[in-house]
Amino acid sequence: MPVKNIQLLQENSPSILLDVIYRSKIKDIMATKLVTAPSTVTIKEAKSIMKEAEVTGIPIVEDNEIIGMISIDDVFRAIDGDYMDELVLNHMSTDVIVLEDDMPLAFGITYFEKFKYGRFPVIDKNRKLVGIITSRDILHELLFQLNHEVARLESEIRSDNDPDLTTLKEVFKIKKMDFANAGKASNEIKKLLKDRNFDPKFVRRVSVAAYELEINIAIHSDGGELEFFLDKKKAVIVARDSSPGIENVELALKQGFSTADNTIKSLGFGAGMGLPNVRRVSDEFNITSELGRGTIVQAVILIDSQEGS
Amino acid sequence: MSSDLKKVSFAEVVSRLELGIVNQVSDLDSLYVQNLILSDLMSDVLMVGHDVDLLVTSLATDQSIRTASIMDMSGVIIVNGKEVTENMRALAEELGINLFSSHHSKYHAGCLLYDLQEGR
Repeated sequence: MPVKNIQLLQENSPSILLDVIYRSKIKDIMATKLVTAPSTVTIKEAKSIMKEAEVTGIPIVEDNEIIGMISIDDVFRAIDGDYMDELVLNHMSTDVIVLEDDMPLAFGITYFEKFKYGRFPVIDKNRKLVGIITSRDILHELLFQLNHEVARLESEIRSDNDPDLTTLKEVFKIKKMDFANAGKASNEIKKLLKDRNFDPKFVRRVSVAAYELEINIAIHSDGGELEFFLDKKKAVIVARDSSPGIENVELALKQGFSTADNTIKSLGFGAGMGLPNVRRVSDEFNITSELGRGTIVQAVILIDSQEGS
Repeated sequence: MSSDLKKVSFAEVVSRLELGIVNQVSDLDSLYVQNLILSDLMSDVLMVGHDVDLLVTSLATDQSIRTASIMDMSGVIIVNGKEVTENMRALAEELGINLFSSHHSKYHAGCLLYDLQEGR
């Protein structure tokens, strides 16, 4: 029973998951094409019905009301005990646990966790048998719903990046060793923010991050791009270069570690302060690098951040 | 760099250090220096978490001007009698930075500025 140990109903479960399992009703998930048998059939006949319908258990009904369940396990026991020709009436489980069709899916999950049955008959409010539900049905529904929710969330994220919703987006090309122009992009970014009357501390943090990253691209890479995004909550700077990549990212983030040569040092940089400084001014800092493929650094600076500098 | 030091006007700084004025964008009598930093390492300058008004450096490149601008400073003094290029002047003008040149060493310039701020 795969659902049993998933522990979907936790206090800290994602709200979307809880939404799904409380929104979906048992009647939306259950199978309504019912295969049943009267209590007067033999176990052997019940086995044939199961085989024919490709199910592993069937409700035994009388006047549309469920009076018991017979499962493949009961059939195995009958084979072992050699009573296949006896009536199901004497061998079915009669303490049948049922679900009601109006219950949310959450109840179904709880039942599968609580009771060791592979399926539950579903009744309506008049206690009439209207369906049957298996853990497989629940899994199927969960996957379907979650798939749907993930797609919805993804499209929400996409619309977050929508040009109409993003206040600003600029991309700057940075050339290798072009020190006459290194710093221009950061200056542009600073101007864009100043013109919009942002808090000077926020402007400075963004500018410092942009400048260090811009210098980094110019001195360490074969050239790259500096992307700048601004929305209502934050500024994001993404520095992307194509090569050569950083051999040891952890080391590169250590203050004072540098691979810069004297040309770079003569320009006032290359003391191993760049990346640590970007990280210092950022609320969120990510770096990925692969030798031969390049480096991507993302710095996020929140507009109403509590950071001092 | 200590903020206990007295505010002095850029005009007083120019006079005490016998600075050459390369680019002037402000009225130097009403523009003040309280916090300043002496450094040739721009990353160190960019590391400073508080407001700085003036950068004193022997790094005679565009990056000194750009760093000062990124850090919202009002002025840069290029010390050691280093040549200040036309490019640097034009950049200072573009970025609104008061740019000065000094024949003093960075250390000596620092001492003179300290005395000035101490009221000596």
